[in-house]
Amino acid sequence: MKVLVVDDSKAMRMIVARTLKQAGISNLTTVEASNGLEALTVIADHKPHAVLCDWNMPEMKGIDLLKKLRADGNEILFGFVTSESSPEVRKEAEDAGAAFFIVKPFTPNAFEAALTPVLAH
Amino acid sequence: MTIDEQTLQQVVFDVCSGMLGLQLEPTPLLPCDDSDALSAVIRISGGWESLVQVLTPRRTAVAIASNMFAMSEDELSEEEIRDAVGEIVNMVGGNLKGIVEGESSLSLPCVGAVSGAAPFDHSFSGLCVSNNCQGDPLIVRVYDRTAN
Repeated sequence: MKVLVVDDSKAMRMIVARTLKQAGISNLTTVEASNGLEALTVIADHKPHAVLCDWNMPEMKGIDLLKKLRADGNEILFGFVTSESSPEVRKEAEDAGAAFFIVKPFTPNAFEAALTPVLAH
Repeated sequence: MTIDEQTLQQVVFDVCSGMLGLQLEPTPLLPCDDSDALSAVIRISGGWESLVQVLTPRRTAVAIASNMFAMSEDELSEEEIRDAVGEIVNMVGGNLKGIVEGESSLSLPCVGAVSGAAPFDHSFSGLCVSNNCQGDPLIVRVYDRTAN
């Protein structure tokens, strides 16, 4: 499974990739992008199965990336990994088509709980 | 809900110890060599106007970055060290924003070096928690601009 990790923090991209492995996601490969705009290029080039995306980033925020993908007809599995945790933000993510929402700080168990149901489909 | 010292400490603990596995112990503000420190600040605006700051000696920042990148300290670049401290304040700020009622937005973190301004002094009047992190102070301050 190829997963795109989008976060403007290189440290967080590494931690997310590490946590995916710890959560036991099988046959995992990861690709990275540092903002939404860069993610559009990586998605076109690498065709990942899923996107794990931060909310606040320069150039293009995560929610704008999701809206752009859906507007273009791309239904890729998309979820947020973010320190944003307010009900308003969660609702905006769900309304835009996010399949899961993981709040930082997180644990491998949180990844497993969020991803297992959506990866089963 | 408003943020008190206990809530702030819990958020800092969840980020640094719970997620990153750093050794963290609450402590009174420690005397500290302030000649080479890093400060990471994030702004919350909207319903709750506030600034959140993480302040730490560079050697602690390096230890945190080493943990986050899973790299030895001498392999780290300055950009990676600042990235790590910025992500700490991003997580703390984001969690605090989620606790306070009302819609607010979170800025991107801003990280810079602090020197010569006694950053570890006792004069700050806002909410502040101090922890011993990997042997040195890790201070988190919240300046509530709505209340001041």
